[in-house]
Amino acid sequence: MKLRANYGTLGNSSIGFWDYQSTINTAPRAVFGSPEYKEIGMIQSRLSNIDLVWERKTTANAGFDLVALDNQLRFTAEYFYSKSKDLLVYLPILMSSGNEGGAPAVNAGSLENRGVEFEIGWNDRVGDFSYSASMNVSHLKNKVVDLGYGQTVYYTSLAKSEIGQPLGMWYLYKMNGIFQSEEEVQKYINSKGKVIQPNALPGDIIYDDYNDDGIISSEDRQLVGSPWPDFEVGLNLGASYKGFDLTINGYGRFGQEVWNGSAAAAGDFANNQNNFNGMMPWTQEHPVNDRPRIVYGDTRNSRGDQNRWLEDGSFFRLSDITLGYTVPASLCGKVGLDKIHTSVTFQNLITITKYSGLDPEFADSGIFTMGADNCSFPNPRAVQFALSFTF
Amino acid sequence: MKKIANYIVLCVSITLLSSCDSSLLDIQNENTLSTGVFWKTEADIESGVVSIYNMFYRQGTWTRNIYTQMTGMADEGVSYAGWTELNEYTKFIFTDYNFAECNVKIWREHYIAIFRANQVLDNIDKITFANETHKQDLIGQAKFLRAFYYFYLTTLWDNVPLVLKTSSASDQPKQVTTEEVFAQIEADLEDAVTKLPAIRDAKEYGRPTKGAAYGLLAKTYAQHHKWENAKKCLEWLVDGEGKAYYDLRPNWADNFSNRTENNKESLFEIQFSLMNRVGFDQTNNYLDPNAQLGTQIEMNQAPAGIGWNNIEARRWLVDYFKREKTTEGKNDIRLFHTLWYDGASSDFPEYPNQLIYGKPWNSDWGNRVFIKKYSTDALPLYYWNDNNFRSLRYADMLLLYAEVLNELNTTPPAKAVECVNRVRNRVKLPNIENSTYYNGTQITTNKEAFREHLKIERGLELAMECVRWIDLKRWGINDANTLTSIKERDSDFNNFVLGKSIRMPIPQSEVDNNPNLKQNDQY
Repeated sequence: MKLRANYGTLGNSSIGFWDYQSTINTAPRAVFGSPEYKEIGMIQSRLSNIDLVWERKTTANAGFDLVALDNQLRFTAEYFYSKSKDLLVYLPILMSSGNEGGAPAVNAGSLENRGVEFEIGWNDRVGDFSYSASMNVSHLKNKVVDLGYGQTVYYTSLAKSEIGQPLGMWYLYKMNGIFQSEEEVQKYINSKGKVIQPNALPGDIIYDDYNDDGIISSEDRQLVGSPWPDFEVGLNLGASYKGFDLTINGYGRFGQEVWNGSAAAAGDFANNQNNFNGMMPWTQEHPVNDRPRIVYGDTRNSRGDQNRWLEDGSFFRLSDITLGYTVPASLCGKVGLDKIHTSVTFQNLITITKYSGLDPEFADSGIFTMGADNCSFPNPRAVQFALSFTF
Repeated sequence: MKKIANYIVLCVSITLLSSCDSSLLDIQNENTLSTGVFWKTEADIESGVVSIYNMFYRQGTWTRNIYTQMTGMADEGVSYAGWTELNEYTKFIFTDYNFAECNVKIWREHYIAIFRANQVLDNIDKITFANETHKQDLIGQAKFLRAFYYFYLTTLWDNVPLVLKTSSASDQPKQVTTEEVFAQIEADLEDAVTKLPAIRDAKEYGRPTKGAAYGLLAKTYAQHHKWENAKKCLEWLVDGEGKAYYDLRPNWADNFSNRTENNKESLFEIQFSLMNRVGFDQTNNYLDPNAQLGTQIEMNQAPAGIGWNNIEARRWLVDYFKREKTTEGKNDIRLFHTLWYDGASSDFPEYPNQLIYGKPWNSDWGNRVFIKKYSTDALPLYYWNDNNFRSLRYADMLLLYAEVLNELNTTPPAKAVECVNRVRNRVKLPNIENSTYYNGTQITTNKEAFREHLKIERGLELAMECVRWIDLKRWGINDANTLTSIKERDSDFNNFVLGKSIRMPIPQSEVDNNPNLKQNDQY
């Protein structure tokens, strides 16, 4: 058994060399006069922050490693803590500043991550057959400690990041089902008896009147989910028999809610564009309670900032499976080589998920909306053949 | 030993003394022009001012979207655009407050223009000009333009943040009331009036004059219901010094043609050009010196199947135009030049072979009415055209003068009637007293009737010039009766909610992240 603890601080400034300086844009042109001619304009377009400092990441962890049964069983437990201070990000600023050309870099605040990780491993050998297996499970808790520019909360169009809370929590309109009849529309009232959606028709979405003021407005957006997984799992399996070897690596995340941007786009139906094929909407004959009727030329049911587009993003994926064969040394020698190894690798061959988007493991669109899948390009599925020679 | 000690002292002092200059850490980037070395000369200020004008050529300003939004919301326009959000935005259906095309872009680009004006105004005082009049002129221009952008901001959103200094990234500017925005616009324009020249050389067309500042100021005071102040500005234009510089063009259509720009009827005109003719749309590329300098007003409104057809006209305009005949017994020529509609050929037989971008009226269009004003004879229709937008027109001033004088008196004064008749006579309509349709006696003797009639005169004379929404706001849509009468002309107003729809929703991301900014009521 081994006990261990680490502590360290790293500095980082992964931004542009001149980000602290404002430049003059020499592109603007304007037309004057008769006959007309162009004049050259010059002006500052992009704002900057002159007081930038390095971001600092402090990490600490403590844990123990346990080995038993003649080194066949391995167990590791670890608690980790990290705090990123003065994070350098291009945090969007207000449009009323007149800034353009991208948000200026800023030391936008501090984040705290803490969590635990357990790993259990086993390896054994039976004659020519040897195998190993290990699995790790981790759980992470994330907290915003500080935001840039003295803000206590920062919103994107989909998410809210507030000091003391996890980053990028879903902040959306909430769907409370579908109006099935005109009667239900009239019965949907606030505590003062006001009909909340008087213009709704059967088949329309019932939006939650969160602040109970009798109208659906921007005040009705609410926290409706977390983009953070409950736990993550990693799996590594290995086996070899004579010249054959096999490795399998898997990875999974469970419990996170993903905003499915491709569904929000294809489920629009209000515009003349590419919409879902074969989807059965709400109709009088097929009354359902989880999706609305289709209304072309009317965006009442298709807004992107509603929780209808949130999905359980849990998945488990076998990220690669490699099967290899090493040609016996006696054969290699005959052709003058030390070693010949052949292998075939399957990448992302199997993914188990209920997520309906293209890929549950997507590239996020920035730290403040990390759970939003904006139709990012999916991870490729690939088969690779390899042949390697050692001289 | 002593010698070594001396060396040590020397080395230490060199190190200490030479490392004290902290300015060495603030290195200027030699590869680009940075703010640290700019704003030093007259030329810097001049080019700063040019870049404020540059903001006319943006999608959210006068290239396209402001026409869609201002015409669409007013009772004169309707959108059948296939782009649902854009279409709904003109019908008071605002689902996504972060809708880029007709909300975020307009808001954002107006503030970019204001940022530019603020930079000029914050830096100009540091610089000594060879010619003080020139310096004052530039201050006047920057203030005029800042006022201009605030005027449209408050026309669309009412309660907006007031930014009057060069911004910094952490700013969270305070929202103010419409009253306060108006007061700021008035202060800027009162100053501009004293600084801008009354006339400009042809080389300077496009820059505002004293008359332009008076015109915008009169419009602002009128919106603010400060009739007495508005009167003073209009007096200068109609009966004072301005009388020498401005007049109605005998040929009404000259006001919308790219062959008769910067004429005597125009107080302020946005200059468009096709000089920058790159292949693809660069209007929102702020770093492209070749970005287009034209307007898309024509492409935006051209009929279905020809242009984008984002906006078209309501039918009542045709009917209203046809209520009266000219003194020659013909239809009002303004109808012919304002709209394309099914009956134009028979209503205006004096114009044979009427074509719309080379094609006859398409019967599929039914009784739809398309906007002809500002169309050019470009064939085929191009994405941009060079037709200057007449932002402040003398006919607008005359009718406004009539309105202001009426508000200040118990019965319409003779001067007010004279102004209306000038506008009417130019298109060969008889004096209002002799109208074959309206009750001229009542109109010219009753304050209420005169006011109501002006709503029609303005609606027809200034149709599709982004004036109607401003007018509707000035007259107010505060009660059910007014709303009902507007609904009869434009069914879009069925979605209009009193106390809410008179202003647009502020882009939500802006409200969320500025604790000093509240979303407009009921949104």
